[in-house]
Amino acid sequence: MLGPAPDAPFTVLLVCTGNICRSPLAERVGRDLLARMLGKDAGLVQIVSAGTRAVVGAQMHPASARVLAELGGDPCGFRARQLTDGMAAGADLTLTMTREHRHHVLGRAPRAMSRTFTLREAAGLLDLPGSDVRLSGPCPVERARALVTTMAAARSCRAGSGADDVLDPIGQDDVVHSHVGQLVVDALVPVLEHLAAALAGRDAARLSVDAPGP
Amino acid sequence: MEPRAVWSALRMRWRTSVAGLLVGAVIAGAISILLGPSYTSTMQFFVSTADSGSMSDAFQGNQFAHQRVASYAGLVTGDTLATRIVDSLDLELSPDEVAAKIEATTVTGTVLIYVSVTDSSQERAERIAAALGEEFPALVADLETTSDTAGTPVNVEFADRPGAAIAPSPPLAVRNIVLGALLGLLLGAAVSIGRTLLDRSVTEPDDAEEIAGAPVIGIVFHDEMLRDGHTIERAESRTAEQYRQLATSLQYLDVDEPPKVIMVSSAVPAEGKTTMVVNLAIALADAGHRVTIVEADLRRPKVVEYLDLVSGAGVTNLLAGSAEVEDVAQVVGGGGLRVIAAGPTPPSPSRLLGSSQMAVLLDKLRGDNDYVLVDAAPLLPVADSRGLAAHVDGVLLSVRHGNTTKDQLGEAARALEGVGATTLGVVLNMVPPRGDLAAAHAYGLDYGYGAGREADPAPEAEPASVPGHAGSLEYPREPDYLRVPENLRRPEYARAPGLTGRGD
Repeated sequence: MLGPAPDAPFTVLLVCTGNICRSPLAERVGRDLLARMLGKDAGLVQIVSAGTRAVVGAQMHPASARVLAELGGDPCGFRARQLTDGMAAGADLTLTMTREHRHHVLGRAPRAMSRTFTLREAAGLLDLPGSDVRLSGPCPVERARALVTTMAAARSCRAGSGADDVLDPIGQDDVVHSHVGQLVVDALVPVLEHLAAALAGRDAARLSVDAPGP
Repeated sequence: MEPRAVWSALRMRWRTSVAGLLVGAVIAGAISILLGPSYTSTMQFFVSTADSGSMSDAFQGNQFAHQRVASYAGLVTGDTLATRIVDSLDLELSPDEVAAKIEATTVTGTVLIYVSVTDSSQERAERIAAALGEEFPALVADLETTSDTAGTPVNVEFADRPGAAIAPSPPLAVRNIVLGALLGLLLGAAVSIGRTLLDRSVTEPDDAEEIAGAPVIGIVFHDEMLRDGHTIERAESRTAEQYRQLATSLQYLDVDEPPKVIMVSSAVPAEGKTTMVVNLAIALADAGHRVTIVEADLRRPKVVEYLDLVSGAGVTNLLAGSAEVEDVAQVVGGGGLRVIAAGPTPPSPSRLLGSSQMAVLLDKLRGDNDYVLVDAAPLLPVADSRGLAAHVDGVLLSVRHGNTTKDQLGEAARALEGVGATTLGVVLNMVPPRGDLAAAHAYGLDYGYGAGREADPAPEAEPASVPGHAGSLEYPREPDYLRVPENLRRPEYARAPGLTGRGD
């Protein structure tokens, strides 16, 4: 529980509140994107999601499921899970929807500070000048972990703000759910592109796939 | 109170005097408007006795007239005359109301009665004055006529006939406003001086030194930029220079045993303590020192918020052993500044901060840094910082100019003394840039350090509302990556350590 296992696949943990809207959508879209970008190497990485106050066992929220279907994803068979200390500590990269979720994750796994970002923070860090790095090394998972380390180091050049949050669409109508879905995808695509590039040992630009859109 | 102190009080609280002046003028003006304009018609009566032959008669008659004048003045403003005027003019006023418009004065030693009629209507003032001129001599004649004398012994004649009713010059309103303004100004000045006399807050460095038993090692002016953004955006600003001076002063506090682990605290909350920690740390890091800020105000941590860092793990994790310094220390900017956040709030901050684990942590940080600044909770409301003070090399006390009272500062200094801590110095914070103290310390500061430049507030992220759902749920349009203190994240720092770019 002290950290990610050295020989396991690279684990991306997505965290929101109920684990029925934002994080499941990100999980399903992300799984699909990585499968397309990595092909046969997709097994190098696993994407999971959990909620800080999960509606344990619930399916995806109908509105989010609809948005996910519109984006080309499949909401079937999803079951919401509660975030545990072990999940927080064991993930190689934790992407939360808001800074409050990040705070919560760090409460469970204080050593994970340099591996835990909000989703939009992660995208912003990779967008900083000089972040387009080529990581070397023989092991794909180690290259991906090195990418996370450079992201954490880049924090010193970037101030956090309310813009790092993707807010909760629960209780809002379909338009809001769609907007939230698009925000999640817009931030997730560049992060996974960099991750896939690191895992495959290639440039992020050559891995780009068309981002799903409405 | 010396004249100089009075002058200083008036200058410090000049707003009170100006407010008094304005309020006085406005009240006087309002009253004048409510009362409306007034017109006055004046006249003069001469009282004489009936002609008689002999000198002695004339003398007695004169005496008689003198005695009568005072009574007649009473008659002029009396109800009887007012009733007669109302009757003769068919006025819709009561005799009392008419009587109130009439004023009569006499001068002792003369037989003259000065009468004035004042009314808001020019025409009515003149009509009442004319009727008075008719009715008053008649009333006197009626009263003085007795059955056993033929004719009246006294004559009342015009010495000056009623003139046209005129408005006073200068107009009454102007006079009232000037008087009101003067009165208000005096009152405002009195309040300023009174408040200064009653003020028990620390405003003089000499007082602060005496009470805290430590020198004032820095003076920082009040700065709008710090209030809103907490960190200095421009390295050439006056406030940045003041923090640089403070950073320099730290090096000379004790040259034999230079303090490295320095706790910053204040007597009560909201004394500018955390703002001082953050900006002092930036100044030290800019000067090339390795600095770590320890956020040890566990109840109300603010450092992370002010520097837009990650919250959730920090000091309390280190003390509990659930993380290492390397896990939770956050690098800020490209210099040597690191921040250790507060971490989860523990049930008893006081015991945790006073623990030997805290001493171990500070010792470890002492070895890795040139300066460790410990942002501690205020000393008076909670005991958290007292135990902590025993583990540090010394304490800097932040004193908010004009807000921290002398009693509070004294109590804080005694609290530190009680736990055997060293008070290294006092920083006088939020000093009004207009005051005497500022004038004494501003020498040369305004010269060449961006004097006259306007603060350029960083653009805030504008939340974009969801299309068609204005206001229902706000989402940020673009992350504002660059809303970062300029001196922290200059272009040359834009490349993080460990990030090596391709191709350049």
